[in-house]
Amino acid sequence: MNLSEYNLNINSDDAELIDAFKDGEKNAFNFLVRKYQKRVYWIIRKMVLDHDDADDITQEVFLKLYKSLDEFRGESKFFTYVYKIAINYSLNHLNKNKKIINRKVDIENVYLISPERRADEIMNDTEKTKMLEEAIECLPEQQRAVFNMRYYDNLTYEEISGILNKSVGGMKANYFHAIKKIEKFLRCHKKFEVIENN
Amino acid sequence: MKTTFSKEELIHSLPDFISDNIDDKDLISQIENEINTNSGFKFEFDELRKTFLFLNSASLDGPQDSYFNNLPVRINEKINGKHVNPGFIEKLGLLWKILIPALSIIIIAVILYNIFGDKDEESKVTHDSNNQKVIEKNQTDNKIEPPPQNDLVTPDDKEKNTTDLPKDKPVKQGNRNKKHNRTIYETKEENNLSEEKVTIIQGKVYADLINDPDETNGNEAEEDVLYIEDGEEDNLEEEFLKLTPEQQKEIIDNLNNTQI
Repeated sequence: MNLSEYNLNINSDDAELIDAFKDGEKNAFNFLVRKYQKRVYWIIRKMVLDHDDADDITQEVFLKLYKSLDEFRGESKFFTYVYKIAINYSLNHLNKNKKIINRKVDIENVYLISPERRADEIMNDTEKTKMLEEAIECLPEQQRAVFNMRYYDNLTYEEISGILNKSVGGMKANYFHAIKKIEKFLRCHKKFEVIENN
Repeated sequence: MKTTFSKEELIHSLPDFISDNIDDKDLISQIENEINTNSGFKFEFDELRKTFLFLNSASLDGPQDSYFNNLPVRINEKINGKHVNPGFIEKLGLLWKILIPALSIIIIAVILYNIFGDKDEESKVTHDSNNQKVIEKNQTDNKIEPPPQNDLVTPDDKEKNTTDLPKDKPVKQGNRNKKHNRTIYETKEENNLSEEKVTIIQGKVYADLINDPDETNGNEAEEDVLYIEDGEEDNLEEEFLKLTPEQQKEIIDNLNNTQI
């Protein structure tokens, strides 16, 4: 059967696309790419923070997916499977490049982006983006992954524990500590007053 | 049945409580109760709430929409092997593209160095078949120190002279650093006169003789420097004795005039 006989499109069910792919219709994979490319990109982007790195890893993830899709048994959701590959590649990238993931927030070395600014001034979007990147960069690898999966992707703790092969209670604690680290980062940069006034 | 949660479970659930991500009503009510009754717990709640205010208002910069239009194309290219990492053979081919030019440059550099590098001047002495010692010199840049005065010898002091070369071998002057004791004869022709000036020097060659401007310019030398290995003085003596008395006297007079 060719693609037209499968009557497939980007909105087709994952299982149908995967079955068509396994039957030899390799073009079905293109629909899977178009369906999940943004989500995969942002999973990776929130982990590695750099766009170029995220671009490279995204391509690698889909290449890996193409090579391993024949072996996918459907025991978990397809996107959970994809998510797991993306997170693992991101964690490997962070480990490999020794990114600053355990930046210690030194309360004594507090600095302001602009010390002359008044506490009631509003942060612009660029400053918020920069602050967010730096805050996420403070998080250790696993806390960063849990934070992104819970806060941005709204995965359950059970799904997160399945992806990372950790306990549910541990994932909950990881999430709490990730938020606390971001709180400490913002406090050390004296941004809480600015946040309250926004 | 109402579930009782520990203080740790309650505080770990605060982020989800703030994000409205809790479905368990018992948990929600216990958290609310703790906030109302526990000032420390309330403080934690307030601080986390500020953090979420910031997180909700901030976002990362994303790529342009066109990025996602051509991402599938690039992924396809990668799948089809257009951007596959080169294999070993391809890498070897790439290596040769770099290696061959590099080797060429190194070889050219070595050749140029050999051509334009410093050369040592060599002096050669060839033996004349008619018992005349002819010395040929090549250009050299090396200075040669004059021999010490106490090294000057007369033909009678042949006992002090030793040589490594057999007597019948041609005289050669090679390396100026050789320790051979040599007897050097210098002849000089002036204005077609038959007068010969003979200088017997033992040891190292005088630098000024070697570096004679006439010699260095390739002109015919007015002074010919003869190098004779020690041990061959016996031949000279025999030849001298073969001469007529008049010839012997003439040679002796010349020697006396040269103040040797």
